[in-house]
Amino acid sequence: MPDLKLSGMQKDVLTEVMNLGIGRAASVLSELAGDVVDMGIPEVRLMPRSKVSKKLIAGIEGKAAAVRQSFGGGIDGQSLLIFPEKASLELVRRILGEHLDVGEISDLEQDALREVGNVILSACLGAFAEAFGNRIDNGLPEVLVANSGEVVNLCSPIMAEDPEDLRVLFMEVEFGIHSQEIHGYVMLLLGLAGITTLVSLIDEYIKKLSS
Amino acid sequence: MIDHKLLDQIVAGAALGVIVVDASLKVQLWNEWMVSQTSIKNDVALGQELSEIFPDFKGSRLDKALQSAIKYGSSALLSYKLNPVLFPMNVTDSSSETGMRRMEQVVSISAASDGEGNIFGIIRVQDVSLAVNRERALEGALNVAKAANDMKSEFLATMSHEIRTPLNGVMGMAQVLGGTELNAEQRNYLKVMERSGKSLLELINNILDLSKLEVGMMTLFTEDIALKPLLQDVIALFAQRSRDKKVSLKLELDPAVPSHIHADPARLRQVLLNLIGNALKFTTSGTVKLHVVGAKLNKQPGLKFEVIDTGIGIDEKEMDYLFEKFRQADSSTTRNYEGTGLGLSICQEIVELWAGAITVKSNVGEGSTFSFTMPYSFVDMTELEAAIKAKAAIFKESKEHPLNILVAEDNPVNQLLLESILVKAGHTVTAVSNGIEAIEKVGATDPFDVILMDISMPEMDGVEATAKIRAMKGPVAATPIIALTAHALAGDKENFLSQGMNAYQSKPIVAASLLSKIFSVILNDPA
Repeated sequence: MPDLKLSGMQKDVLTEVMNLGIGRAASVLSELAGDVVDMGIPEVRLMPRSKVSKKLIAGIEGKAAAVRQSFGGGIDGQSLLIFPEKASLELVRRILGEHLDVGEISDLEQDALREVGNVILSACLGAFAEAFGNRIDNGLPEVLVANSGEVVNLCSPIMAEDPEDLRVLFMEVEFGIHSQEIHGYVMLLLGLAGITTLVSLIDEYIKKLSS
Repeated sequence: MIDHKLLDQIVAGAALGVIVVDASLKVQLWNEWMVSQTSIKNDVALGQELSEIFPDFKGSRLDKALQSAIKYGSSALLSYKLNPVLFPMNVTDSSSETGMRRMEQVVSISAASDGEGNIFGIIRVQDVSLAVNRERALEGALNVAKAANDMKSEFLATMSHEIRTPLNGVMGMAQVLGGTELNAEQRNYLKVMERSGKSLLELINNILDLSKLEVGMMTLFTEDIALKPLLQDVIALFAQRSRDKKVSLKLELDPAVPSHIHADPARLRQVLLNLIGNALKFTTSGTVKLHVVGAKLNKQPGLKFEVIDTGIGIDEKEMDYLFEKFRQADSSTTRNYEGTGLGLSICQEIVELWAGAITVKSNVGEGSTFSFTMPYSFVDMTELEAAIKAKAAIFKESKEHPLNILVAEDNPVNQLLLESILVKAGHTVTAVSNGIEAIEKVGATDPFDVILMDISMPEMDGVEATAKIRAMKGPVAATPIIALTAHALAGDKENFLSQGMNAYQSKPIVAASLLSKIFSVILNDPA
């Protein structure tokens, strides 16, 4: 398979678009939380799936919780927001303004986690669709809990592609809420066709900007 | 067009409302569940905009989400927790006056297109009232359980307190008895008595601590402390035991840790005594090590204490229960190692009180490591050094002078105990049994160097007597007074100090602690 890499310019454009989306998500979450929620994505990287699993194992001790949303129409793939399981509960409770009691996530809190994930993932994909001028149809959010190394693998079978060909747009995301920081990851899982379309869309966008 | 009947059958029983709108936001499908919940018939809803059916819909998050789904294909999920008000529908509720209440919902919105490229918005309304009810009931049950537990803690606190007072007499008299002439057999009996009394006292103190911690009555008393001597003291307490067990006991203090910190020394000592005591208990060979390093805690300076042993270790399945009350690793261990199983819960509660964390790592047969963190604040060194020097100078001088002490205590056993401790230490004692007698003595004789004042006495209690003494004329009004009480509750100390007493000594009386308290009161007040 061809060696896929993003140029510095392509990376910059993607980082900017993603931050536009995450900024919108932050303002929605601030409204929901009744307090300022800061979010930022320092860098977007393109990686093979296997490398992502290694990164997640290193970055998340134990179980990870993920909100997953499929997307399709032109570019097909899976979008994921991933946290350490405990941090996901903490984030939800901070947004809800609830006491940080220990204990399991309740059904209603799990719905709230789906909503938070949905706000973030839809905003990222929305910014994407808007910038590159194509419609992206989002599925509904779903929560997965698994060992950190397994989360991405769980999404692979849903995709038609050979798992070895899957590429991931990998972003670390930092949340600041009630003066606490929570780290998580946003990623878009794409097949070869998806990546190729994406890269050509970015190039068109750059051309438009420079002309 | 979509077959409504088929769709209704597909989603029937799922308590799911389904609304489909076209690109111009007009309702194209309104399923049977929506009809039954809103009483709005199919033929009324079809062709209308949602804002015509639900006036509050216009401009709401639902409205925006639906429009952006149709325009960009984005999806949305609106949960009950973050959006308590969604579509205005009701459910039956027997506990409400009207018999109805607003339905709690989760609403999801997405877009889809048909074969001809027409785009539709799909809204699914899920009734989560049952889950909300369940959560509320659970919360209620938790509150009831917490109240019951608080009541239990309070009961335990009162009981332990009541038991401590007579035990004080038993222990004290045993101490006094030890000072008389005894033959070897009697001395042996006395030893057993003292040992049993001590372990009973320890248990009661633990229960009292735990109940106070549970009802949030325990507070931290922070002061400037010299860290190394404190740690060495703790280690020294276990020196004999580690020699007896042939287990080596080490202190490793990172030289980068500041020599003086501001923290609660009594509680720190308590946690360390518990953890090191445990480590020694469960280690038969090898080493027990206390390792202390600096650690940053939430942008505040902190210390990390690790108690590392080479003992029997803890089975993974027992780890979860480790910090539970009245629990040792398993029932078979209880038979081999005595103890109440309260120590670790107390450690955990104390560490959490100062916003630290306690953790454990262990391998069966290899040993365990208990670590905890403690935040502290820095100490102004120049001020501290001057205070230490001044204290040391006065202490040396006054140690050589026996003191003239007045003891006001109504309980004859306690009076006898105090007298014997003080006389043995070389002091002169005058004993009285109520506040009135105390005032007479203070007014009549040579001035006393210090007064030990029981709080609850007949005729006139210690608080009133103190007030009377403070109101006297001349230098006697400033005589240092130490409150004696079995009321060992948080806030008592401040309370007594505010009523004119100089210090506070809790019962049961321990000789060394009483004597050092007397000196520290004299030293603080050299006049």
